Amino acid sequence: MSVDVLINNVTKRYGDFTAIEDMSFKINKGEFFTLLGPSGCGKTTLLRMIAGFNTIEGGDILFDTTNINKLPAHKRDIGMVFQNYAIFPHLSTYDNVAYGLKARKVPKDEAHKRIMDALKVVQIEQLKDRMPHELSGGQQQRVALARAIVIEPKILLMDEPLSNLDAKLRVQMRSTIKKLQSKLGITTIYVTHDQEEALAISDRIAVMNLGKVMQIGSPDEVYRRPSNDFVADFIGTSNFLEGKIISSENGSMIIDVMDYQFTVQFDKNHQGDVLLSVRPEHFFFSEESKGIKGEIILSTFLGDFINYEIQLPNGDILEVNEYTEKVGKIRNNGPVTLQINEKSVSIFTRDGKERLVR
Amino acid sequence: MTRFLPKRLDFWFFAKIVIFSLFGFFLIYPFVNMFIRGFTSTDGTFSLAYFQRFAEYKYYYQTLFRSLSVAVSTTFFAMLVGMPMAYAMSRYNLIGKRVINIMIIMSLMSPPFIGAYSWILLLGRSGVITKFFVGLGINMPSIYGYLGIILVFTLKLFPYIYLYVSGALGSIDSSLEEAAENLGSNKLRRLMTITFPVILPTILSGAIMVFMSALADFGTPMLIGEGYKVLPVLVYEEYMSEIGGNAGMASALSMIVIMVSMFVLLMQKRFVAKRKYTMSALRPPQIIKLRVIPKIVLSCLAFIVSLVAFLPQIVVVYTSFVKTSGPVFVAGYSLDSYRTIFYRLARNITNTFTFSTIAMFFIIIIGILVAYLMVRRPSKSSTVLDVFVMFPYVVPSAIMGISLLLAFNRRPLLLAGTSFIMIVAYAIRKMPYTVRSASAILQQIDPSIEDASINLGVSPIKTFFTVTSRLMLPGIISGAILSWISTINELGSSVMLYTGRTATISVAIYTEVIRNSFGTAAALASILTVATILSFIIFALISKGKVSVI
Repeated sequence: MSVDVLINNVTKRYGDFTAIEDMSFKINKGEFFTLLGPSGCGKTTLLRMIAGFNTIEGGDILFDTTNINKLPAHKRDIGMVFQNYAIFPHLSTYDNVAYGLKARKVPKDEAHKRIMDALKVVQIEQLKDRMPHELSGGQQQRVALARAIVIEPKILLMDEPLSNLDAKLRVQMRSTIKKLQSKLGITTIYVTHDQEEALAISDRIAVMNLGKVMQIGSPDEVYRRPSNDFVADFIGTSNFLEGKIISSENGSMIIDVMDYQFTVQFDKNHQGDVLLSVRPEHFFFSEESKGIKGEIILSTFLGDFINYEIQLPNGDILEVNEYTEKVGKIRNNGPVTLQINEKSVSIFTRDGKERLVR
Repeated sequence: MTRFLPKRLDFWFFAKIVIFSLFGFFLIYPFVNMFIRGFTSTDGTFSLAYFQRFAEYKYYYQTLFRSLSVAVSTTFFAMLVGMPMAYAMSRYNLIGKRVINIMIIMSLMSPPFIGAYSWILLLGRSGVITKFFVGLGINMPSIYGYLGIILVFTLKLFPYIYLYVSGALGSIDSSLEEAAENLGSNKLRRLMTITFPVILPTILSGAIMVFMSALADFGTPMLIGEGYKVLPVLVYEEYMSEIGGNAGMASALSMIVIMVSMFVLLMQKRFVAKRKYTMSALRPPQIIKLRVIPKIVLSCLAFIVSLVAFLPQIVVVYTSFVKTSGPVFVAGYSLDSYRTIFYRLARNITNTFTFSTIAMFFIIIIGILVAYLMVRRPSKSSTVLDVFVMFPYVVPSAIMGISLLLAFNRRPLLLAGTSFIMIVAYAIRKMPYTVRSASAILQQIDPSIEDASINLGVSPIKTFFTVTSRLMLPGIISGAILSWISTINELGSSVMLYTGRTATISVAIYTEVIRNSFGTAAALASILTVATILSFIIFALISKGKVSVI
């Protein structure tokens, strides 16, 4: 049923504007795969190319071994959930879900059974006779989901399906979708600009920017091992610091950041200036004199942790988190010394394009 | 992204080609042909002779000044009546608003020349009111000529201003006026500095409708103008007197009328483009509760104005039941007029409804396709299509009739005198209503609904016919009813294109009035009025009270 999706050298241009530039990757059978990026990064363009709403002029898209470049959208056998649900306003819940089965000429009895099953799976069987205008946003979302899965598609596409829901419902629907997907084992391609949502829901994430894939990896990988400064910045919060390699030997090098020196294991040999990206939780306050000197100017209590804004002598501001349980009380404003957890730091070339550590 | 040749040769590509061919053949070719005729002398060479003659002889050029003067005065008076009416109706708790509103809309929907004809019955040489005053020894000013034209036009066309301005006043968020009040403006100051400037573009749109209609109408000045000849009447006479010979002068005059309308329309567009205020009324303005006396006085005034505008239709229906002896009304009532028309003019009645129904069929089909192309497939060619479809809107229908006659009056393109050519004229001339309302509703339909249908396995064409058109239906029907109402009442192109066999009700009313056969004219006009009212009721039911006839 489910298929692999291969994106081979796919390019999309609108006049002078390149929406997708020579993109290649593979989405595995049964995988929950997310296209994540800021608006205009090409994620929706790519999704609509897979769905068949945008033409494919450069490169190929394959489902398993079948090239679908020329296959019209209505013959691709793909389920899709749209950002604004796109529920047919003139049809009841039941008829909305029945729509795709009618197009496939599924016998009535079988269709009825499948529709009721789908409605049950998304927990709206009691709403089957309602018209769309009698449904809330969350209920419409469930109709859209049922309508997409009832046709037992090869692939499920979702275009920012949660962006129109309120925060609480969003989290709830997120887990509904995740559970449903793993139960059905259907290859799913999910588009979002919300990095937190992507981390929560995906098996793998393709982080995109300006029509290019910046990194593909599991949520853990893209968070902890960002390939470049864009990913480090876009996923979670990162503090960027300039540093310098002062010596290198046998893959282990000494880095200097504002006179604070520490040793890291290098993946690639490099000389000179580097860019460091440090998550707020990867700093720790030190009683030693060794470290980065700064001054707490604001502390914010956030329950399980405390967030500090720390101003450096050059005026830059760092964000540092400390777990409440670890310290028990909020630090006072004033001078502090910070050290970096060297195992967790990301180090890039000075231009931020290349990752140097494992 | 925009291109003339599509990547795929799909249904829409062929639809576009067919529509372009139809418009090319029945709209562009006739007008280009007319354009060339206007610049061609009798011996077939290029010549400016007609335009020279127009500029030289007072007989010709004064009609332009008269037309402009009529259009400007009508616009002025229509604003004078329409704006206070709109303000009073939308801001105060008047009594009988529904009735007043319906009377105003009905007077806009009435056949174009019924006003002129009724006012002749009331204020003409042997009119009821005239006789009454003559009996008292008072001489009434003549209704014929400039004064009559202005009176009839103002009463028929002020509803445009009224409808546009009421719409705009209803969509001003009340916080805007409250803010002005809060900043220390008194009522009058608020009206002049906030309310009025904000709705100014809308007032202008209404004014343009009035201006263009007054400029283009030919029935009213023909009936009531007598010696006061305006440009469309001159075009008609030039064409009729030259028939069989060279229609160059009529063509040249038509060009002048079209150029004036286009110029005015462009000016308005330029003005409005700079002042486009988008507002969504979160809180529509509150209706001010007047005390009893002012409320009654204001309601009475509004009622009288709308009644006077609606009067022609009452007069027409009434006189259709009055006994006649030849051209003279005599005491007593009878159905003779109706007997006469059913006996003698039944063909005209069936013609009107048959032609209009067939035209409506084409208008709906082509209208839906054009709306879809314009909204969902925007491209250079779609923009051109938009211009083609909307062009007839600025062309007086009599001129449209002439252009079709000139283009199709000889073999191998001999269509003049057929029912077909009349249906073509109606379809092209009345298409804009349907296209506008169909594209307005399509713009509100989320494209992803169509995507969803395709995604679920229904081909794009089937999706268009089962989902998109289904969702567009309310907009299409209400647009089509407006097209229909306007078609059954159409005079200008009918009068140019009819022959004995293809004459319609409006043509018959026109010829009956010219023959002083007022009784039968009234009966025919009543049939049109009743058909119009019924269509309008259906329209109001379909659009569920959200009535917008503009």
